[in-house]
Amino acid sequence: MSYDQTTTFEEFYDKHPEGKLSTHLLSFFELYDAFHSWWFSLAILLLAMNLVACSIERLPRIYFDYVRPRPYLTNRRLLGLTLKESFKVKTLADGEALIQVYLPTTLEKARLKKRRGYYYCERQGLSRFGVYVVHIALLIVMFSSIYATQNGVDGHMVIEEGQRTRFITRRGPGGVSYTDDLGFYVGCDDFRLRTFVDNTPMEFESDLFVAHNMTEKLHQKTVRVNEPLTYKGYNFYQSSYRPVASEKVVEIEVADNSGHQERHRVRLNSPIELASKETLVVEKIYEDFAGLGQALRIGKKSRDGKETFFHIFRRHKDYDRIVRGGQYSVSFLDADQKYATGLSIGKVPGIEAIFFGFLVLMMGLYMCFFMTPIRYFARLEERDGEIDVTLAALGYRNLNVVKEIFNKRLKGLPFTDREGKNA
Amino acid sequence: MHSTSFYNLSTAGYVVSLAIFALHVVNTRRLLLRAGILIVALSFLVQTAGMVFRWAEAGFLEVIAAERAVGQTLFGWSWFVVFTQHPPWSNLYEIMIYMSWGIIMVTLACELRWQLAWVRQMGIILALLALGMAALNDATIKPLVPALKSWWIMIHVISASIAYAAGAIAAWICLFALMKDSDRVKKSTLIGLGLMAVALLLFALAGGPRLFLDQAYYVKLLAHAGDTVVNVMDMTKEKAASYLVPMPGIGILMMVIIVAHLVFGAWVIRSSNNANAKAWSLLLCFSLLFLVMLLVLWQDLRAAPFAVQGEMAHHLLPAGPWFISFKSHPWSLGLLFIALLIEVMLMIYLLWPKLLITRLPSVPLLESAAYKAISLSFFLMTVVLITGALWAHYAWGRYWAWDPKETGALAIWVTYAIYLHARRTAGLSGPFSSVIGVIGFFVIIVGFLGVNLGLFAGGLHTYGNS
Repeated sequence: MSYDQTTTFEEFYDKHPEGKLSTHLLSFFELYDAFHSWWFSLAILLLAMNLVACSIERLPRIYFDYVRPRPYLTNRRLLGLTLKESFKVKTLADGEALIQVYLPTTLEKARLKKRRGYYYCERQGLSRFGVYVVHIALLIVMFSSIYATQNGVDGHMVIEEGQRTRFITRRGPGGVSYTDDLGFYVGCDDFRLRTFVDNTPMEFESDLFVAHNMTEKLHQKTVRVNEPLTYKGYNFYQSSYRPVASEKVVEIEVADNSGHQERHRVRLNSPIELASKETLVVEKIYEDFAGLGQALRIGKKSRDGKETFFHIFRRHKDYDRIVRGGQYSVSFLDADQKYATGLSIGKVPGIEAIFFGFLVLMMGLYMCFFMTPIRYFARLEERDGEIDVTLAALGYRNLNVVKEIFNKRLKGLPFTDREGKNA
Repeated sequence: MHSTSFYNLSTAGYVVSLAIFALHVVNTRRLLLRAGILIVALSFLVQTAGMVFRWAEAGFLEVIAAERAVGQTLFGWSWFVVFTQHPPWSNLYEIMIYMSWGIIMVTLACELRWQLAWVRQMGIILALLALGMAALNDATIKPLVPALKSWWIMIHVISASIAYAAGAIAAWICLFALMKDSDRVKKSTLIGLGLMAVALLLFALAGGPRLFLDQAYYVKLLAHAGDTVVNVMDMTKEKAASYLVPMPGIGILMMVIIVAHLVFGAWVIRSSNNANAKAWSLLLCFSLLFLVMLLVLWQDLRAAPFAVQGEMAHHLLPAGPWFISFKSHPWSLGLLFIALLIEVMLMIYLLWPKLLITRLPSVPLLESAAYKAISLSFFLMTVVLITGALWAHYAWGRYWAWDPKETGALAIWVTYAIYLHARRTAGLSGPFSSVIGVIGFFVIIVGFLGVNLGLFAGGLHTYGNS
């Protein structure tokens, strides 16, 4: 059985009447809200413990290998390495020159003090700890998310234009909604909606402010979809809007034949006096006039007191000019609807820790995937009047990359031919 | 000229190269291979050009729409912001085009790096499938919804597409590694498990447990309203589920097929020495699946008027005639095709091993290729999860909401983490990790398409679902 995790506790109980065994089981396992149930939290906790335990188990070996790397390229050590090559040169100086070219550091730094003739250096060795960085990052993210879930606020509020409120709607376990007090007021001065021609929303924004009583206005900010207002750790996000049924203001434009245009913002049934001594009245707003979208009925009172009416359409601005003709034309620009702005309220304490965890995670993954730890070994030995030079490398992962790097370093060696063998 | 012409041209190129590669299976001349790769690369360039073109198209549209809405002309930086804010991966059509682009990119990278036989064919088939899915969606460019106007969309979606593509290709490489690895993998086990996996896939595409609970296979209804096709799903999102039409015949057939796959899969594993058992079970399962595919296609092509039952539906739906077509259930058709593809590969594996196994490179090469592809996928999935969390924090105020698509992405990430740990830490390279790689494909399907297949409710990522 699968359970839709977007349903709420109430919907769940509607579907599964109380008293049945299955209902008890489902409630016990909190299947209506599995991601916040006790067993899911337990699983996450176990995962965290597992992560810690595995890291502790494996860390010492790598750590001690890192701080005490066994740098001497003895014959026995050589047996365990696959990337190795030996050369014969005439003099000690030639051998040192060879090793100098092979090693990615200076000879002085690489020379081992205790035994002569042994050289060692390591590149990107710290990246072997990348896995631990990743695991620590995951632990940071896990624990700070648990902290954030325990102490955070996630709610919703709806404010009408010109109103202020201090109550938000939150959802508790199982999506049961309840009201919570913010401790301060949040108000909305104005809400603006811009739509495309087809009336789909292009952008919407609210002028918000914060207040501690019914009169003051602190911290004013315009909030848009990706730009929240932040106050006392609470973030107020523009999430939705809805129209409030109340008195409407209409914006129309009257253009006469000489090209003169005049905009009017009027309420319903309030008259507009034109230069031609005629009077226009917006009589009615149609939200959808026969499938043609928003429309207005305009009443016209001519100088001799004759009353007629005509319609104009918001979607077709030129309708009146083309269809009715005459001395002047009217176009329907805007109907200012009173709106209520819908805000999402989020307070995520420790979000910085979570983001820090993300940063550490990316660093750890970079160390794991894009860095290649390599150890370079070299040895000089005098045998039968000649100098034996042995070069070797040890990698821990990306072994073919290590092999490529090793071969590349061998190619540039002096006193050898192109295959890396003795000249 | 539209961006769609670029896409059509590149689709034609992919089809031609697929034909060439198919020929290359029988006739292994280098010339054929090179010609095929050249055509794929050229088509890929054409598709890339098409995407750039579409970005510009959408940019001009956004500028016009914004100028009309604001009432003034845009200049300079504000023009640039509006012009570039609509990348060509912002609705379902574009996402599917973009998925195919990612798949081809990963396929080409595999080809240049390892020259894996059969992987190129699978990559191109998957890309063509994605292009086919795209073709069933609305291709018109619409202004972007406010929530998507963010720079995060660039990196978030780019990473997601390449991560999913790399995962899908890696799954095929893993399957081929299992097929090639005859020392450690028994033929009968692989075929049996393959049949069971197909059963799971069919279970997912038929709507999960709903298939057995309601004994019906659900399909959306479509109707013509003027020039456009109306989709029941578009009208009332909350109630959409109740307007799905059950198709009892196909439902029962689907149940039979799922059970048959499970039973025959188990039987093949049991009777490992019986060569006939394998061949006949596979043939039977394949023919059943092929039958249901034909039935569904016939049903879709016929487009016969469909009576809407129930009083409520009559009042709420616009006047018919209602019908069923490809557009009614594109995702299910795509998955049905993938199921068939898996069975075809299993049949080739069993009946013509010379064509498959001898052409494949060595097991270590396949496994290391799969390992690299999955590492890439894992890394990019991390980027997807992190950028998704950051974007969600700045747009919705919650960095993680257990939204179905988020949870799906996390499931894929965890699957690949298991794969990497199996190989690196537990030393379980070989069949075990390859099996996890194959499972990753199914997790990708459920995670990426779960919402579209109706396995989960919509959630917050519904912009891309139309």
